[in-house]
Amino acid sequence: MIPVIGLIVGVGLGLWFQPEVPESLRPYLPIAIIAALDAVVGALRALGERRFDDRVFVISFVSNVLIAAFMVFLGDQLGVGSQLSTGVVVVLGIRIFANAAAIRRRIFRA
Amino acid sequence: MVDRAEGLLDQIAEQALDDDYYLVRSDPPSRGERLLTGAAAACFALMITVAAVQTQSDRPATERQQQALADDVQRRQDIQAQRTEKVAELTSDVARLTAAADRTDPALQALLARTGGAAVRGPGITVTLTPAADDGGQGDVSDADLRELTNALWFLGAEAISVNGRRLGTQSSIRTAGGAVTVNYESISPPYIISAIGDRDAMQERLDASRLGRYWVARADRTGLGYDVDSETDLRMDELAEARLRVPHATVMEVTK
Repeated sequence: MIPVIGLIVGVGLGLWFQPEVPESLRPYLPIAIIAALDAVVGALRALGERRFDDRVFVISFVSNVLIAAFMVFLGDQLGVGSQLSTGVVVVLGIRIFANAAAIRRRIFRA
Repeated sequence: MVDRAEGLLDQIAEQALDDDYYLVRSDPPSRGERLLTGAAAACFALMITVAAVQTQSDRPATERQQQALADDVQRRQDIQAQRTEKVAELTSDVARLTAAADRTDPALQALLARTGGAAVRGPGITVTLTPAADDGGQGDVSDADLRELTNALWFLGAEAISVNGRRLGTQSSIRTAGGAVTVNYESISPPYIISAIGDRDAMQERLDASRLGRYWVARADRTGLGYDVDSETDLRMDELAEARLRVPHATVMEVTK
């Protein structure tokens, strides 16, 4: 229940304030979203497998976002920002698809 | 728990779920931890919403930029069309004014008349030479004879001269080629009629009085060739061919009048 309320509150805040993303942070937002999505899909799978843990979710969420943002930052500093972003997206994408597949198997038994 | 996969990507897929979820915890989650989960969910939703809103609000700016560029292109095409039109207009103006200048400028008209650039008409005299014999002797008429006579006519006040209808200009020549006299590189045949526009009475008087005139009368008497000087009220002469008016190398340095 609390996570659902959190989602609604987040959407509400975003729509209400419509904050302008600073130019310097713009490259990090899409990658941070992908990383957060990975943590969220993992949490949903754990929830289905009855092994969800709030602590693990919060820590993986925060660390995913921070590490993804840091890798983009590092890539920018090294001059290979787009390549590193692609790598991060590929790895996180595989994880997201694998977790989603596990959820699907559990729900549909297929 | 899971087999170690061979490839790196397989490994990622196998370990998709964080290993920590597999650690069994005995104590139930505290209230603070559940609130943190809610906060993380809120953060996730906020990020997606902000990114979506940002993209949405950026789109009009992008479209505005494209529209501005398209407008710019359109405007410049209009300007180009206008200028093309202007060029056509000015070109026709130039053509019209040039034609008008040809008709009205007296200095240009005098210049064209003198240099053979325009057809002319007016009073003058004609000198007709009919060779008595074709033997190259005194009874024949040579290119040198014609040159001498035309030069004399210029000196006596002729304003335009033609020989057998060939107008003389600044680049004209009278010479013999292949046994025939040529004017402007075109062969002519006897009788040779030299027409000269000018003050006919004065020219005729001066020619009759000149040494050359007397020489020709004497030569005609002696050899039997025809030498006739006639006064004409209306002589007409064509302009020179374009090829005889061309000045491809000379350019005007200074116009003094």
